[in-house]
Amino acid sequence: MKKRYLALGLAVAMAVSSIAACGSSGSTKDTAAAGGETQAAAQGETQAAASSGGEIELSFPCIWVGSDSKAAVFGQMVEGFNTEYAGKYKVVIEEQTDYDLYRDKIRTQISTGDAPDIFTLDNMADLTLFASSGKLMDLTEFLASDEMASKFIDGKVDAAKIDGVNYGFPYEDAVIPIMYNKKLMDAAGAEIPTSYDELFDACEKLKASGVFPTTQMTANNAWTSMLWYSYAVAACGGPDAYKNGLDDPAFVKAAEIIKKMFDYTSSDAVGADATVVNGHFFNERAAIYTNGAWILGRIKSEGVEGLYDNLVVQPGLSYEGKNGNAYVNQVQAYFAAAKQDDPAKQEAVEAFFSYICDPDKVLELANSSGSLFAIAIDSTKLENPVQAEIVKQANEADFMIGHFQGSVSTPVANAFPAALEALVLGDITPEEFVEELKAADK
Amino acid sequence: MARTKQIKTSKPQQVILGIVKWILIIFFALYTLFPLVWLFITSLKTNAEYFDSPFSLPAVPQWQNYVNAVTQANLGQMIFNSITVAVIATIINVLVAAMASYAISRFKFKGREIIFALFSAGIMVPLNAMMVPYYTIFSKVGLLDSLNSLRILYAAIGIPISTFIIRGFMDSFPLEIEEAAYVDGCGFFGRFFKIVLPLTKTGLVTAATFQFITCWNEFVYANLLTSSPTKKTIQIGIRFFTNQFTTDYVSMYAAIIVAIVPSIVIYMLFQEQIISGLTAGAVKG
Repeated sequence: MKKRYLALGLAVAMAVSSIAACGSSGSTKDTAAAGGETQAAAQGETQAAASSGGEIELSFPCIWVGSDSKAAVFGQMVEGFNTEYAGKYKVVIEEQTDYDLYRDKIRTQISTGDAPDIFTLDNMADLTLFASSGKLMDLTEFLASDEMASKFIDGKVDAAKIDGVNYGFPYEDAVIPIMYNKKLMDAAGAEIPTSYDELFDACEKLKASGVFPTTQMTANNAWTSMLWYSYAVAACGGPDAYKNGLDDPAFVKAAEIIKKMFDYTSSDAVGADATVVNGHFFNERAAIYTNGAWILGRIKSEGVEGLYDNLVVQPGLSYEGKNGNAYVNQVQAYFAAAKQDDPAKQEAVEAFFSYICDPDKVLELANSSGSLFAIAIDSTKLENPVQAEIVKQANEADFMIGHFQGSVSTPVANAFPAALEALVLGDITPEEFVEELKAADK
Repeated sequence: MARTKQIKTSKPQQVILGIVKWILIIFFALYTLFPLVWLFITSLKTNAEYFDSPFSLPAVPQWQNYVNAVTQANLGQMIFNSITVAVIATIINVLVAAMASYAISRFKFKGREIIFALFSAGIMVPLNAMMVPYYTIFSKVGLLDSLNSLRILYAAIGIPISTFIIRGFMDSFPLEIEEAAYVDGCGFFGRFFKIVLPLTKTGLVTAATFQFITCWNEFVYANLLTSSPTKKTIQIGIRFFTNQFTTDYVSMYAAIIVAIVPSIVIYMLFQEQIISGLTAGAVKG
């Protein structure tokens, strides 16, 4: 009998602990507060270290590691900072190679009050959300100082303000050209287009020559097709296309364009991911492609021989004679920092930010990776001619506009791939496509 | 000889059935093996070859991809970490689940089935929804960036499925054997450790195998709860070759091949117990 009660007690205890471990969201608040206490304790230790003259350590979960094109030079920058401030400050990198996992981790850490000292985000929506938690450092005054303000391209820092406050600043700034394989274009007798009408003429010729005119995809976030759609929205709606939200007729017109573009792509486009799209363009099976400047390094190293030399980059196309010569761009990485109670630690964070925004260092980073940044660099010193041409064209563009994914809410961006697939398969009309996106926003 | 005679004398339908059977066997064998073979072949290509023709053979086998996988991503350390995490978590999990199953299966008490239902309900809980509570718990007890956090977590999250599997075996285990041991003076712990556990070995091995593979393949919490390079597990190592916009596919595939070898070895070693476990007690529930 005794053993039976013992067994009952053990079973109940285990079941309760099992369910407790599964947890309920209702307990999050309390446990988050507890997490905050833990962080506060950790901060207290750092403060003690700082006040006793010890080295201040800054945690930095970093995505520019591993095989990332920025990994080598950015790693050197961090090492350089640690050497320059040896004994005073030390940035400890935590390697984060999988971006989705990294994003989950940062969200969890911030929601539990355990934000890393330094981190990056890839969109304003997350920055705004995290800023509302009150756990991010106010960088407004620091960024407005003469020393820092002069380092950025005009307007970039202000564009990252939330209610007049900088909780972060833009760093990597994606500029996205349309890329043409001149060899394939010439072989097909097609000219580099400046309007959508000319584009579809070129597509006809390319199709007749036996290559895929454009590259498209619908899997994952439908990245490159999302960029094509972004260019179509820019052409149909102009620089203010996103100001009216999805009610702007530009989104329906752009849907008509993207649907037609799928008539000029590979048969595997529906369901294709970035690997398929890159494979077609890198191996000269497709002639027209769009992606961020960061892809240039891979085109050079993984594309067929001569592909890189045959690249022609161009800004966006006009629609009905309007809104051509636009460039799609988007901040790909904002830097932010956890709010610090210890002024010494805040100084350490600011010293690091100042160090990595040095224009000469950023130029080296741009040259090594093919990426572009929100820091004002001397573009004549860019070693990569295609990259330099993109910067030149972007500077001369009639207007710059964010890409679709970064300009709409997260639910709309998430709904885009499925809606696109339905659109190109003929299951829905362009009007219904936009309605599906609107429905996601609700 | 007898077999030959049997085939010679068999009816035409039996011959046709035999052919169909072998066609199906070969088809499913290819269906199962093809992804692994493709993965291995692709891991020996260059990225350019992979993009050019995903199904072709490599012009020159790139064994360097394996060197990259092991050296750049520090896979050796990660494999060691994964082994210690998976083995310890599996031992804890199976031991605890066996105790729970024994209590639920053998003792009649009020609410027994409700408790079992509560255990089983854990199977339905999506793990990713628990990131905040788990992170907070391990932060509070000071186990962040420690492999012990993964050992404890994996052991806990596998308890529902392990209990579900092992209970099925315990239910089908004849009570008379235990009663005989009781008559011979065997105590509570003696009966559990000397009689019940050895005789439900198939169920324990089945649960342990599932648990080991779950621990081996888990990466969300491995990334969430650890930060130092020395605390990373193999699944994080595989992702060393991916980043925000680009992926070194061939090195990643080489890392995957290295990572799946232990799971395959474990399965091959215990396949008889796993299959008999799945077809016997586990499905009885």
